Amino acid sequence: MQLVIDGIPCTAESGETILQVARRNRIDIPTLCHHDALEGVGACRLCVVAVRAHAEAVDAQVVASCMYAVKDGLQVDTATPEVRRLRQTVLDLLAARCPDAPEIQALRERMGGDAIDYAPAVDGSKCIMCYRCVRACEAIGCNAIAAVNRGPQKEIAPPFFDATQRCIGCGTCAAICPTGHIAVTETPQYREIWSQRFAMAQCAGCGAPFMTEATREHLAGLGKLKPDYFTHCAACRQRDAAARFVRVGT
Amino acid sequence: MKLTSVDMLAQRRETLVQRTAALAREVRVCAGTACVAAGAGKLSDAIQREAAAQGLVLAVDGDAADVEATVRLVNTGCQGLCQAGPLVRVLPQDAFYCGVRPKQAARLVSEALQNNAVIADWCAVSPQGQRYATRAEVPFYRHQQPIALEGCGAVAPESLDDYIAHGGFAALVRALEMSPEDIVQTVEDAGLRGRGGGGFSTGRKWRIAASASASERYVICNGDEGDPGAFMDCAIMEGDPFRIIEGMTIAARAIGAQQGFIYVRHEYPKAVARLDKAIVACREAGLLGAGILGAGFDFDVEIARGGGAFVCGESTALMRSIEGLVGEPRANYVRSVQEGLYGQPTVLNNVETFACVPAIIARGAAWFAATGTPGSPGTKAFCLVGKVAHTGLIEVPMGTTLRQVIFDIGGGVLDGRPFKAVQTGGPSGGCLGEAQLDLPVDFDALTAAGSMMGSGGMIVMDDRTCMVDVAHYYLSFLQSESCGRCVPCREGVAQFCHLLDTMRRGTAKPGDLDRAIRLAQDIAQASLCGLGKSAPNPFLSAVTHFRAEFEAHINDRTCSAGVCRDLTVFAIDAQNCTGCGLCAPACPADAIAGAPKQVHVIDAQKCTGCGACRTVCRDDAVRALPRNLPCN
Ligand SMILES: Cc1cc2nc3c(=O)[nH]c(=O)nc-3n(C[C@H](O)[C@H](O)[C@H](O)COP(=O)(O)O)c2cc1C
Ligand code: FES
Repeated sequence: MQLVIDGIPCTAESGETILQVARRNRIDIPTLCHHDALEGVGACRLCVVAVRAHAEAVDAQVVASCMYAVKDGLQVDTATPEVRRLRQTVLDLLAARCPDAPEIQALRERMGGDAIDYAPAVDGSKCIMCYRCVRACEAIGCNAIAAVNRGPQKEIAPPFFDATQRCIGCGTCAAICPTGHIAVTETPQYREIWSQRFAMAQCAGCGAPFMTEATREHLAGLGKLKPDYFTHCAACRQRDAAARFVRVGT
Repeated sequence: MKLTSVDMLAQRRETLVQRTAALAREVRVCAGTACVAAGAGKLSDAIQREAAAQGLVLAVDGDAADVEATVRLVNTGCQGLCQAGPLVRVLPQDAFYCGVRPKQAARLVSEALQNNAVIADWCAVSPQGQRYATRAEVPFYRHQQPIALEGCGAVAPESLDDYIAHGGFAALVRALEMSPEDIVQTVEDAGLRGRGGGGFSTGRKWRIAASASASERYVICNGDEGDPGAFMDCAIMEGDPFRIIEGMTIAARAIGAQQGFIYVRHEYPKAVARLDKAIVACREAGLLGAGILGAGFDFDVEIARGGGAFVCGESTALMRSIEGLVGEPRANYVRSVQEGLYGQPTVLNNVETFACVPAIIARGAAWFAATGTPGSPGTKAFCLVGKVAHTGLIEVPMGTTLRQVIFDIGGGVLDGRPFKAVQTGGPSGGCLGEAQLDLPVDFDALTAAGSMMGSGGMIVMDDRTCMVDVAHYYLSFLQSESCGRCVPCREGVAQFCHLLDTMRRGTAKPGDLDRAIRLAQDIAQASLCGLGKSAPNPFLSAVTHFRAEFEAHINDRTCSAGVCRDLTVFAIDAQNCTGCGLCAPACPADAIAGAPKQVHVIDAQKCTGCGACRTVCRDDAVRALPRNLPCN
């Protein structure tokens, strides 16, 4: 199907989102909660754009481009004054909630609009409630963390804010967090995350800690990976693979 | 007994109607929530004891089969005038008594039930001293027209037989004779619009669901009723549960659904119990389940219980909740009529919407459309509450003005105080002022004025109401009820509450009103679901109609209503004070001095602005004055 984004005609498949089509055509739309590997949630609303059903349509509607499935003939504007103002408000609100998140401050400066300083949250953290960690944990199959409470009290936590069997200490949540809110302590012996301590497994090749024991068990349980995945770190596996290639080559 | 054909149902009705007709009189005791709280249960027991003592055989509730009885006693659902319960209505005279006590049962039985008399000294009296011999004359009821509430307060809620005797399931029989397309067309022609808030055309919704290609379809009844102060849907579910089932079954027939759900909040245990009984009774009678009335049409209903979150009334959150997921709205742009529950086409309608359906099918689209306005046909139920003389549950033709509702039905503002505002539409709605009183009750007219119809809460406010405070109340409600998923609603509404709070406290800065208006517009535009999109309405409507009050709070630090404590001190008007001494003990700050029969004085330094003195004063001698805060 055909649609127009910022005056540029774009071709799209049905089921694609505006964001996907825009990015393929190198049209920039800022996002926070979106992640290519995860199912969309439409939580941050930074990616809003204005859409009209067809070229002659007057009525524009503001939608989240990361969730809105394209339609034939759709007219998208990614930077109308209204859209820019809404993004500014989203960032201003997040800046008040997360005064310590430099990523938000940087985006806010990049936006360059008339910023408003809202009352800073007394219990502000770096968490912008983008749900990336929750979705990643779900995709891994652990469901160890979820959003709890309602309204401004909403936060991400393991069940009952306590140690949970479901968490394998894989650290994906921390790695995917855009603001570095999720605290991780790494030592050669253990990793601490969500107030839980996980013993590290050592690489049979180089002796370096490379994943938690619990992660190793979880992945082994899936039965989809080669045995060396559980004994050797990524660097050693690469080196071994390279060595095999060299042998095959000579 | 299983009714395996339409003829069997007709025969059953015939038998039941004959039995009921053989009863000389019927006494309806309201067993709605408010009346029960006022002692209706004890009253009903007392009537039964008295009747036994006086040798009068009563047929109670559903058991009209007791042929020896001459009088019937029905413990009904809400009869409407909640404030004056326990209510009793005696037919066929249509006598209507308010506030009947158990000790009055003897006279009720001997005079009204044995002797067919109207007990004149119990009848309601007009301010001019005129007695209302019948209920139909009472102004509270005179201007009403029940359609959705037709059976509520009339039928025995737990008796399928009684519902059938009152004409129940006749509409389903009609629907079974019609093609699904004809049913949809009839509902569309009737112009029925969703009573749950949005006012979307019900017929069109059904048509989209019917035409979506799918193997399964669902019908859901939204009984979440989250608006604070509203209880219309609860009253219908408790007072006339079979009507909802009939309405849903007709919808199922129209769209080709086999499974329905009634989503009820857990604060409504009685509604759940009643619906549960009604579903079981319908299954046993062959009115639900496989092969309804032998017509080769299958449909069943299940109850889903909600946790009581306001946002769970929103369609996508409600469906997730039924699926066993967290009740948060979905952020997709596919309509749930096409892809709803379990991804299948789903018709979601409000309780009152379904309650209108049997009447439309039984009496026709033209009959329904003849009532109301062209854009909003039919009637609308409201819960009339707040500072109004007569509070309760009402149903009026669309097009009735707010003034008629508040003054003719509601009897005007409580204690004769001046009217200030009326709030409709609950937390998503707004406040309208004196100048809007002649607006008709109509989806489009109320929306155009900045409020909305909503599900039917109507709160009347007098001159001692501060609009900044009211806006703050609704926004704090929404702040705690926001699911917290999207930024504009979670953070924006919280900031909004903060801004309104600074206005209440006198710490707002010039320009804050414009900031608040901009934030309101942004929240409305950018939020993910209907909760956030409509969250600023209580504020925006208040600013539209009461802007000066907001400006006075910000610029002059005054609250003319005397509600915002930080801006107010109270003083006693020596002209009016009679020295009755009521105020001094009521003051929690010990700020009032005065000898008996002498003019009292409030120490402005000690006064905390709580207004307790003003509430207790009977002589209108307490005045709210600005507490002149230092400039900041
Ligand atoms: C935050 C929110 C709360 C809602 N609460 C209710 C409710 O309690 N009851 C209801 O019937 N509809 C409620 N609605 C409207 C429903 O989403 C839906 O539109 C309605 O049930 C459709 O039925 P109708 O067309 O018969 O009105 C709510 C909507 C929102 C956005
Ligand atoms: S990126 Fe679209 S809502 Fe967050």
